Parts: sequence; structure tokens; C-alpha cells
Amino acid sequence: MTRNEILVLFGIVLLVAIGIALTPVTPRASLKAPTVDWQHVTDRPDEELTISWCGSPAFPSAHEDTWVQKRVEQAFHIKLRPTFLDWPGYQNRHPLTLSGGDIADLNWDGDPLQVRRNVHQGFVMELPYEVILRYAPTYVKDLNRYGKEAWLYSNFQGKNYGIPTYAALDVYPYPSLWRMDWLRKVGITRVPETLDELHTALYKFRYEDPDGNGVKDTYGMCPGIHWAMNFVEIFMAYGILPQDFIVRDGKVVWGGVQPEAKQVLALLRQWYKEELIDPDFAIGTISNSPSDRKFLNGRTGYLYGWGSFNDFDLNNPNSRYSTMKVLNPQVELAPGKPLIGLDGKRHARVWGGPAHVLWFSADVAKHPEKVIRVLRMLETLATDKALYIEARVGKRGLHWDWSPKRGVYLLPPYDKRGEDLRSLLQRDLEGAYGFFSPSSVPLEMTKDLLRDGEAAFRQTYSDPAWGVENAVGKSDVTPSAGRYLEDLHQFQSTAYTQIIRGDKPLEYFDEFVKIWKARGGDVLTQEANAVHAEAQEIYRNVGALKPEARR
Amino acid sequence: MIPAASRRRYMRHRELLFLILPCVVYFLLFHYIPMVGLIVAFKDLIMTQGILHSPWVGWVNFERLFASEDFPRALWNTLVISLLRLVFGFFAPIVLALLLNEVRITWFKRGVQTLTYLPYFFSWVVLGGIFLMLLGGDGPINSLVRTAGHSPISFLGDPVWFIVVLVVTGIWQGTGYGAVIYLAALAGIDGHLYEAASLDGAGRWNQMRHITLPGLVPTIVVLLILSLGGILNAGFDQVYNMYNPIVYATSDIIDTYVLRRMIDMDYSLATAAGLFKSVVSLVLVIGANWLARRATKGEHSIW
Repeated sequence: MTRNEILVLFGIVLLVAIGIALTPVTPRASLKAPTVDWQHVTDRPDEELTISWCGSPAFPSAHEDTWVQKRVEQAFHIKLRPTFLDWPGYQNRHPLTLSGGDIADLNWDGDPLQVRRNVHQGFVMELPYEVILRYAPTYVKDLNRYGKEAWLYSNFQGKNYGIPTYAALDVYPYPSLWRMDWLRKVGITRVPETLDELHTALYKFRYEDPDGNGVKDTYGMCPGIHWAMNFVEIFMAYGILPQDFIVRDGKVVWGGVQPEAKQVLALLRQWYKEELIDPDFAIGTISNSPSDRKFLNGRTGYLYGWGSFNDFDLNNPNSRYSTMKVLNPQVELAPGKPLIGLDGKRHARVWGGPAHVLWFSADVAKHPEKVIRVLRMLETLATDKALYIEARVGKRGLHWDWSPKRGVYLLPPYDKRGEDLRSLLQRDLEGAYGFFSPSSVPLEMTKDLLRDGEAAFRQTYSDPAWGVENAVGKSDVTPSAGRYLEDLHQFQSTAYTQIIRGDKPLEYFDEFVKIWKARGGDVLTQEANAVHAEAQEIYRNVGALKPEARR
Repeated sequence: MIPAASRRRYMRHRELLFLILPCVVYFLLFHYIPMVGLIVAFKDLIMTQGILHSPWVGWVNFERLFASEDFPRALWNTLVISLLRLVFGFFAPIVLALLLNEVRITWFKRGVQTLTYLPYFFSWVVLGGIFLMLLGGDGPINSLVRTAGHSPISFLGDPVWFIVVLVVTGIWQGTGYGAVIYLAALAGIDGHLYEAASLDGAGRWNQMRHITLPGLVPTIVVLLILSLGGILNAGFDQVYNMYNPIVYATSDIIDTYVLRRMIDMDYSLATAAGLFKSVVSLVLVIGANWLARRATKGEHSIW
């Protein structure tokens, strides 16, 4: 071909390409979705409805038409059409399918950022508070009790766009994990309860050869599980959460830039210098944290970041205690309460009850009875314990059974790895990851299914009264979070790590605060205050100003 | 429009043209038409309004990119990591291929080739965990360092060492794969040349210098141009699975930066970053090709 011919051909190709791309696509109808006149919507409970359901991405390999699905369908006269996603699919593919106009009637979103994005894009139907209150009053009452901040997650510019969910379990603080055999070896007879006692124990773990191998190869601690949990027990002793919004004198502030944070960093610098902190704390990655491995292998004798009764349960052959016993029969684990802080009280960071958001496609405005049916569903699940349990973990005797030692356990073949998720079974009755039972129920409802000693353990080591949560639930309720929050988390982690390791002087903290504020921190703080103020109005609307006490 | 002579030529080769048609259609459908989507970089994309109906915003997305603290830093880091990879990593597969080419014991050659090829198939999620353990304070590498009387080195917690680790592990992972292409090129060199050379008294070394290497030059040039084009890809998987707060300053690359932006599903900004990457890559490829053409007097270049 000659040069001219190539040019002509290229021109044609380009024209065709542009032509096809510019062919007018009519904007999706949902943009002008009808507003629903809820006063006149009726739902006849015995009429069968078809509802497509894109629930939590915790069941990537599940089958359609599982026993659980049929049970829910039969209970509510629904034909369910589930879409099962995995986490990467939820993060990457789901937004694309939404953009392509393929939107399920009901959708699950984990964080307020995603909800807001989807509302902004016009995918989501507005859902007035009165409707939720009218059809699911018990559900709302429980939600207000455990996670009223979740109402902020479904709010966008003063309007509500979904049904928030809650995880009752997340009101419990984590116990710390101690190597009791180490403590005894270095002459300490009980688990440390104050900062000073913690320091003494960590010091002895480093210098008094607690594993008795004659080599100085042990450290006190090695955090690194999650940016929100690193050293958080020590920050809490000073009364702040480093990577969350907290309330100070009626105002919302970022914990990590408060003067106390500098004091904690000064302390941690000292501890690092004394070699109490394993230097590897700094190199944890997104997929790999050294913390657990170090504790498991007997390099560190203290771990904080997550934990529960199960970690200490020797009846469970897969628990942390059992695993460590296999590796080394000498191991003795003991749980610890949160440290007694400078104010003489115990405080512990908790993730908190507010969980996720369920929202309806804008197209559902044409069939608002579907919304009412789902609300009825949540209401029934909140009051009918037997049905709730069946919707979570299936039929007793077929899928699971219970014993005082093991609690709820799955029966073969569902106890095989992955088989439970494939069959849509979720042993965790207190969390927020059921597929068709997306919210938990109040803790007292499932209390009799706990293991022997579990309730007492919680009372002793995980008293919800110690819990401190983010003042606005999740920091990304702030409208500009998408632009700033991740960068700020990252910047703070870097600055803190540099100060603790001594790469930067302690005075660098002041510079860090200045930069943090300038790079969006001030904007987010202002927005968090606005959200916090607006929250009171929302709580009034949903009757959450004075929620019942959590039991 | 088309001269009669050309038309006759097209008619004569119509079977061949017909054969290439699916290919043209494929590129048109999946590569050229989607390119129009690049206008998203100049828009504030609202999904329900579609690409066309979303409002135009001009260069705002690019301004946002370069106004941020992190993007220029990420761009710089990307260039540094990529250049180091290029300088130290580009010749590794060539050397490996040349060495393998000299091995005469077939099972040994195959064995080595398989072993060096193998790491390419491991995901960085897995490798990240393995290197975290190998290079950690209590890992085997630091045990050796300690035995040598040195205090442990924080390979992954030191901004400079981290780059070294990135480049070295990257070379380790990719060399075997890269060598396959060169081995294929080596197989294509006429065996008679070697016979003639050895008759003329050329030893192994001289044969390599005067026959093997010149025979590889076209492949080397093509791959060099292509890797220059990919210079703004510093290896997302690897960095993402290995980096940590302490090394962000030197290892936050364009892709990890874009990922953080994507959390807000900011497609416009991501497209702007992608377009920027593509334009730079295009310039680099054209520039490298031009250089290659000049340097080899037009003998070896892609076009």
C-alpha cells in the first residue's frame, strides 16, 4: 500500500470508530424515576414477588436454590434471583455492571463511600425513613440500639437511600493475647493491666530470655495488623483513637493529630529504642502481616489487634491456642483486659455495630411493593428467632448442631472447607454477613447458642462498656473522603512509623500535623462535624436519639 | 478515489484481504472504538448519563493529577524503578539465554530452563508473603547477615534497600520468561554459520561475539523498544504486595496512586492518568524506534 492509501484507510477507520462511539445512547430511564407515593403502595404478603438480590460478597461460590434460599423464599412468598460476588468482583466488576444498567433490585454496599458514589451516579432509589419505620419497627429499634451511626451511611444530602444493617458482635472490644508461660518465666504472675506493667513485661520479654533458648531473639510486641489497630491499645490508654474521628468537648476531631498522639509517639520511640518492638512491625503489607506469625512462632509474647473467646478455646482444634500447643506444648495463653488508662478507666477501640447498607435500584420505584416485602422480611427475621437462625445457618440436624463445648458446629458434608459458603451457611450468628439475612439480631436472641464459658469470658475481657468507636461510624461518611482519606491514612502511617523508628525526630510530629491539615485533613474534619451535627436530626427522625441500652 | 492499478491489485489479493478482515474488525471493535472513550478524561463522568451526556470539564482532571502532592512523586518513583529494572534487568534474560544455549546436556538445559521459568507463574500475593519472611528481621537472610557479624538489615523497611529488593526480585521472577524469546531467536540462527566459523578456527567466545550476538540484535532491539514503551508500568502487582508505610516515599507508583483514587470510582481521573501514561509511552516508543533506526542505519527497527 502506498502512504496515501494508508492515510485514507486510517481515516475511514477513525471515522467509523467515532461514528459508532457517538451514536446517541439514550440516557437510562431511571434518571427520571417516578417518585413513589408511599401512602398508596400496598403489598399483599401472599402474592409472589420476584426480587433480584446482589448481597454481601462473602459467598463467592454459592449455588442458586440452596436450602437457605428456599427457606427464605417460602417464608416470604418471594422468588429470589441471587448474584454472588467475591470481594474483587464486588470492588471491580460490580460498579461496571451497574454502569451497564444491569442493576439488581436489592444491592449490598459495604462502605458509605460506595453508597454515595452509587447515589451520585443515579442508581439508587430514595427510601424515606417513615417507610422503613412503618414496616420494620422492631428492626429499626434494634438497629438504633447497636449501630445508629449506620443511618449516616445511607444518607446523601439530607435524603435516605437505603436500609442500614448492623453487626451486634462488633460492640465487643478485643481481648489482648499473652504468653502466660513467658510471663511466669520472667517472674510476673498476672497479666499486665497498666502501661507501666505492660512496659515491664515487654522489657523482660526482650532481655530475660523468656523462651529459654539462650539467645536474645525475642521481642515484646510486633503490631502491624491494620492501620486502625496498630498500637491502638496504647493510644487508648491516653484516651484517643489515632486513625479515627473522636469527640472532644462536643466537637469532632481527628485523634491522630491531638497532642496526646505526640505523647504516645514519644513513649513508643522510647520503647523502640529499648528494642521492645520488633522492627518488622513496619513492613507489614496489604496481604501479609508479620504480627500473627511472630506471636505464633514465639518471637513475641504479646499480641493485640483482634481476638475473641475462640482464640483461647482448647476444645476447638483449629483455635489459636490449640495451634500453638501443637507447635510447642509449653505454650500457655492468657487473655488480657484493655489497659487502665491515664484517667483510671479502661478504654478499647471497637469497630462498632453499624455495618453496611442495602439499597434498591432506582427502577424498583415501579414496583415499590418489593421494598415493603424486604422490610417485612427484616422485621420478621428480627423477631422470629427460629427463622433467623435457619436463614443464617440452615436446619438443625441437617446442616448444623449445637453442643455446650463446640457451640454451633456444622455437620458433614457442610463442615468441609468451602462447602458451608457454597450452601450459603454462615456460622457467625452475631455478625452482618448473612446473604439473605444481612443484619444480625440483638445478642440476647442467640445467647443460648454460645459455648460454655463464652458469655463469662466476654463479661470479663470484652465489656462493651469499654468500647470507643469512631464518632461518625466510618470516616468515609465525609463527602470528600474519596479524595483525601486514603492518602491521609497512608501519610499518617508513614509519619508515625518514621517517628517511632527514629527516622524522624519527635518534633516532626508538629510538621506532620500541619501537612495533614493542609492536605485535606481540615476539610474532612469540618465535614465530619457537619455530618455529626446532621446526625442528630437523622436520629430524631428514626427515633434513635435515646436508643435502648445494649445488653 | 482508488486508482485502477491499485484496485486490480486488491482484486488479485482479495483472498488474503479477506483473511485479514477478522483481524481488522477485531482491532476496530476492541481497540479503536474504545479509544473514543478517552474523552472521559475531559469529562465528569456520570454513569446514568453515559459518556456522551456527562458534562465536559476541560483539563480539570489533568490539573487535579498534577496539583496533588502524590502524583508527581509517583511519576518520579515509577521512572526510577522502571529505569533501574531496565538497566539491570534487560540484559539478564539475554545472558541466561546465551548461557543456556551453550549447554549441551539436554536434561540439564531443560531442567534449568524450567526452574528459571517457574517463578513467572507465581502470583505476587504469594511471593510477597515469601519475601516478607525471607527478608524479615528473623528471616534466613538476616540470620546470615547476623552470622557475618553485621546487625540485621531492614531490607523491606528501608527506602533504598526496598528498591533494591524490588528490582532484584523482579529480575528473579521475570528472567526465565524473558529468556524464552531469546532462545527462540537463537534457534533461528543458521547452524552452518557456526560450522564455517569453527572451520575458520573461531572458538566458543568468538562464535558468540560474531555470530550469536549479531543474530540476536533484531530481537534485542524490538524488545528494548517495547520495554521503553512500558516504562511507566513499574510492576503494580509486585509493589502493591510488598510495600509498606515506611517506603511509600520511594515506592508509591502511578498505578498504586490511581488505585487509591479509584476507591471513589473516579473514572475520569483514572482515565486522565491512563491517557497521560499512553501518550508518554507512545512518545518513548517512537523515539526509541527513531534512535534504533539511526543507530543501525535503518536495518533494525520496528518500522
